[in-house]
Amino acid sequence: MKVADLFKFRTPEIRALHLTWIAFFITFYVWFNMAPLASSMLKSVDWLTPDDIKLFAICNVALTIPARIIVGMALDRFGPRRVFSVLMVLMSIPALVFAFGNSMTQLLVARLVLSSVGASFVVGIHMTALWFKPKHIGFAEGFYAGWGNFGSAAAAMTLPTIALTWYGGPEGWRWAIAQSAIVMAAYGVFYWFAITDGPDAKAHRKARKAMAMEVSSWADMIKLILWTIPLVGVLGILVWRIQNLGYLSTTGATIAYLVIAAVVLYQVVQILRVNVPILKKGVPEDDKYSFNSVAALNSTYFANFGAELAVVSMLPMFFEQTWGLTAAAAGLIASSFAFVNLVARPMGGLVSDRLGNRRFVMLSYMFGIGIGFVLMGLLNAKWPLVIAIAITIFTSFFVQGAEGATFGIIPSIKRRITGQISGMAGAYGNVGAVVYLTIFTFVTPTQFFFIIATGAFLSWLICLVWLKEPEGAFDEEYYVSSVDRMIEEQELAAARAKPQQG
Amino acid sequence: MKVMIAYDGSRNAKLALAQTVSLFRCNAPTLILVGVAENPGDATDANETLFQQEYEEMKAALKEGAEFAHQEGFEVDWVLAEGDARKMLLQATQKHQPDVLVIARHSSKPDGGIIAQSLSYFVDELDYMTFGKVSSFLARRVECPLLILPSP
Repeated sequence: MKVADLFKFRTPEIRALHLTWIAFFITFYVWFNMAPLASSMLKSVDWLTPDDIKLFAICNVALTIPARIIVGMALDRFGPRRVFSVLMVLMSIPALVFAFGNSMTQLLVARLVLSSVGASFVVGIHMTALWFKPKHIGFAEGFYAGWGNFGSAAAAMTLPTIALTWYGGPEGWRWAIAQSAIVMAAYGVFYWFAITDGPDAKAHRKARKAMAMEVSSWADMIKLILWTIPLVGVLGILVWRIQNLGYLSTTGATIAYLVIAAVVLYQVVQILRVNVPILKKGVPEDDKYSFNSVAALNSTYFANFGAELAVVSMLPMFFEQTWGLTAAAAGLIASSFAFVNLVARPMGGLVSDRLGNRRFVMLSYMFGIGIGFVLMGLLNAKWPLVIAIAITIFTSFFVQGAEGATFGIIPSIKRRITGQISGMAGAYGNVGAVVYLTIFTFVTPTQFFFIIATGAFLSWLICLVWLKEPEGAFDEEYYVSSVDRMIEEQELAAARAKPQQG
Repeated sequence: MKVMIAYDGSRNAKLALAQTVSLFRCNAPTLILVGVAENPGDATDANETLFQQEYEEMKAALKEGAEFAHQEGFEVDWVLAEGDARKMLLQATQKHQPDVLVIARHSSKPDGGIIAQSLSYFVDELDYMTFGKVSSFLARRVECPLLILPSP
């Protein structure tokens, strides 16, 4: 697939790609509609404190992780078209509640619920996969992810202007947020009628094979359990922080902890239920894969996408306070961080494809992120603004390129469970965001940048040790591993036993 | 004598196979056709069926090519790999130790429109920088003699 193909609007799959990235774009626009308006909110609402804003920023990424899990199940049942439409229409409700909320509780709950909108990423990836040939999917999805992510930059650029000049007055920010919510609901309705699930309206969808990821050895299973705990466990940090700030009674916090513990326990039990029988029987040599690569990629996504979400939430305020800019100007400059998405993320995937050494590309990108954030940590009011912007762009180029490179490796670890691996890595992006933003409530922006840089270097180390260059295979020896063949035979047997349902 | 040829069933590959057959006929070599099904660069498992389709197509193309060479009176063998085309071809040469590897040079012309052309130009430039094309990658790394056949 060539870049030029993107302009062939008449071909159905290109149309689908454009419809889908716009949907993703709008959901991201709504998801990040608070950060650029934070200072306007503080000015117009007298009972809000900067600490509250920091808390909202964490809430904004909190429920994305469970939402991803639910959305994943819904995708298998209903297909991406319906899920995307329903998600957009449903999520406009908390957005509107947030826009016109008049108490701390209202705003907090609305933000928490609204954080589910971040799960839209998974839906669009699925939709894109149904439309394109395997050969072209890497590029198509890089384009989809990059241009959709740009929604957060668009929000930072346009919202202050809309709030201050279009609507104006102390209530301007409310109307700006409400407007984005209404646009999202309208597009959700449009999307329902404008697209189908794949070129064939009755595109065959396979239900997911298992409730947990398969692994190849007992040691890997322990690792998987250890890496699964933070996925939902990280919400404990959030509960603790909310309780600390006094918005949650001890009883409420205890209940929340118990729920989180129950979910984690459930996931662990699922892992055991799926894997113990498999491991007892023994995994054939040709079907083994190393979980270490998955762990390494979880860490990279934690350090790059997590950093991006966190930084996008605090950058406008950082520029405003450090250089004494207006809200609109700061939003515009901060958006340069996400602006780079348009090129950097597809390019990350492209470079990973071209260079023929994906591991090296990943390592280089992670190192670049570390350097970039160290430089950002050095920024202060003494630096000329132009240099600061240049450093911001440099850093985000690496951050987003690394995201593209991460998803360049995921498909080649173990094809049968690619969906689960990418789901886990993607969720780790949100774990990263929650962790970073929680840390942010304790430190200054400068310290914060150094912490992110440390995270990137740690991830670089993990990759250096654990990440393996993905290898292909030859047909005659082990193209279809014996387990794959067994699954195929079982499916055939099942298909013969039960007539096809159209 | 062993002649390995990279074959994917495309027009250029067919031309290259015909040329190979006429070039090496008097040596009575064993032909090895190598096809590579590119891994789907996809983060879901939604398109597994599409990949299987592609894989089957590649298999059919290889069998067809092998059949053609067989009718021409050659000893034929074929291999289907899955993964990165460049690396798998390189591995195939290391494994089978052919006397010569034959590949067709792809040439794709960008289609009309100034935007499309400049974009293609930029991406091509990236290709040259990073040796993205199969032929240039192999030209630099392969350890057996390499014959690149231009396609008219």
